[in-house]
Parts: sequence; structure tokens; C-alpha cells
Amino acid sequence: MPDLKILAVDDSPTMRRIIVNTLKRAGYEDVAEASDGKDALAKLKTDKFDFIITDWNMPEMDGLTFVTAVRSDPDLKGLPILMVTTRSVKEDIMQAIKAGVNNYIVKPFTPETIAEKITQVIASA
Amino acid sequence: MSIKNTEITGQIRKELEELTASIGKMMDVFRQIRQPIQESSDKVPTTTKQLERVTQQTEQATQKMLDIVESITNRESDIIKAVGQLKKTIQEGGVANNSGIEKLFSDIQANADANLNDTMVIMEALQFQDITSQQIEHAVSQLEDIDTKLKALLVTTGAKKDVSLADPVRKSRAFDPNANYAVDHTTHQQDVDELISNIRKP
Repeated sequence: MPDLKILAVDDSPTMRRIIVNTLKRAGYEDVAEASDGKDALAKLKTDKFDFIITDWNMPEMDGLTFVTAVRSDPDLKGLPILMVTTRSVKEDIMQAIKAGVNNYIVKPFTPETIAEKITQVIASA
Repeated sequence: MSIKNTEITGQIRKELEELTASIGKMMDVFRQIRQPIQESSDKVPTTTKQLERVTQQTEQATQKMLDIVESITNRESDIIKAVGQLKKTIQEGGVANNSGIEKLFSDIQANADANLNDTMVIMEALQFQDITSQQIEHAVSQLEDIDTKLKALLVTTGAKKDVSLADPVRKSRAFDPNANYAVDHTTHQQDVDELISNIRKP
């Protein structure tokens, strides 16, 4: 398993805690948290991360705007991004893929799904 | 004045009287509906606060549950490690190949593993809090929209003159109006995977 530093972005403290615990159980111990896209961009400017997990619906800066910002930043554009959201409408998924997410998980997710998707994204990066 | 002109004047007067009576009736209706509109508008902030309290309280309860789940997870992980060390120590002390001890170790290990898996299932289920809070945020947003329209109606009917239509204290809300806690979420994810796979097909 690769030693990844992961940034988990979600406005729900409950969801952030669930994601952190799920990642730890899957063997990813180094996980930082951000409460929305704006907070995440600030953290990405001051710290180095290998992987991003982001929600879509967040105040201040939503996930889609955040993904677009990451993909247009020369220093960050190569970072693998996994979107974890309640949005399951076909058009939303297509929009997220177009914006540059590497993979997409619909909430509620199983621990197996999140571990499997990280492995897939890393393998294809 | 000719006879024709007198007839027309009489007709106009009659129509004006009917119109005045009609406006009077309409004003009565406005006066009657003002109070219920005002009452409905007054109830919206209270209902909104109550719904927000539901979200806050379920979040607090979920956080407490997560505290306990994390404690159980940590203890079970410690038990698994301790059993491994104990097993090694006993084997090094020459008590290996004792089927009774081996079974005991296997049972403890299996129970600890099962407990750890159960904690993950609980954590998975606790995602309901985020999903239902989005559903509540959607309902609150709809109520706020209704409140704005009711206030506008009160201003139009002249019941209120100093009502600000845009409430500045309203917080910014982020939610998915279609958020849903699907019980069979594995199948749901399979549909998403299939869609992504089709999008990426050359």
C-alpha cells in the first residue's frame, strides 16, 4: 500500500470523521481535513498532499469549483481527486468527470468502496 | 344633453359603482387574508430554527456515537495485537501445538475481527446524519423561500411597510436536494461505476 498523505474535504464534521476512520482502517494513517473548497485550497498551498477526497455540496466553495481550481493550478493540477458525494444524477457525474475528478463515489459508501477507488486511482495515475 | 348621452353616463356610473363595490369586496378579502399570511410568515423562522435544532442534535448524538465506536475500534486493535504477542510468547515457551490454546486464540482473534468489522458497519450507517441533514437543509431553504414570498405579499397588500424582503441573517446553505440514504448502496455505486466506465470509453 502506498504511503499517501490525503486531504479529506467535507463540510460535515461527521462525514470527515467517518472518512478519516475509514481511511485509517484501510491503512492510510496520514489524513488532514478541510471544511470546504476554500479551506482546502489554503491547506494545499501550505502543505504537500498526494491525494484529495472531496465532497460536492459545501458552503463558501463547492467541490466542483474546488476541483476546477486545483486542475487550473500548475502546482496542483496533477493531484488525484476522488469525489464522495450524495449527488447521483447522471448529469452531475458527467459534470464532475469533465471538471477533472479521477473517480466518483456516491454516499453512503462502504469502507471497501473507498479503499478500492483509492487503489484504482493511484494505479491509473 | 341628448338622450343617448344620458344613457351612456348612466351606464358608466352603474359600472363604476359595481367596480367600487368589487374593489371594496377585494379589500375585505385582503383584510381577511392579511392575518393568516402574517401568522404563517411569523411561523417560518420558528419552524426553521426547530429543523436546524434537529440537525444540530443528531450531529451531536452522531459525534458521541463516533467517540464510542472509535474507542471500541482502538481497544479491539489492541486486543488483536496482544493476542498475536501472547501467541508468539507461548509458542516460544514451548507450549506450541496445543490444540486447546490454538482454538482459544483463534476464537479471540475471530471475535475481535468481527467486532472491528461491526464498528465499520456502524460508521457506515452513521453517514445517515450528513444525508438527512442535507434533506433538512433543503426543507429549510424551501421554507425561507416561502417566507420571502409571504413577506412580499404583505408588502403588496399594504399590511407591512417596513419588511425587508432579503433576510440578512440567513446562513448560506449547501445541500443536494436529491440526497438520499439508499439502503442498497452497493448496487447504486455499481451504476455509477458503469456510467463512468461508459463515459471514458474511447
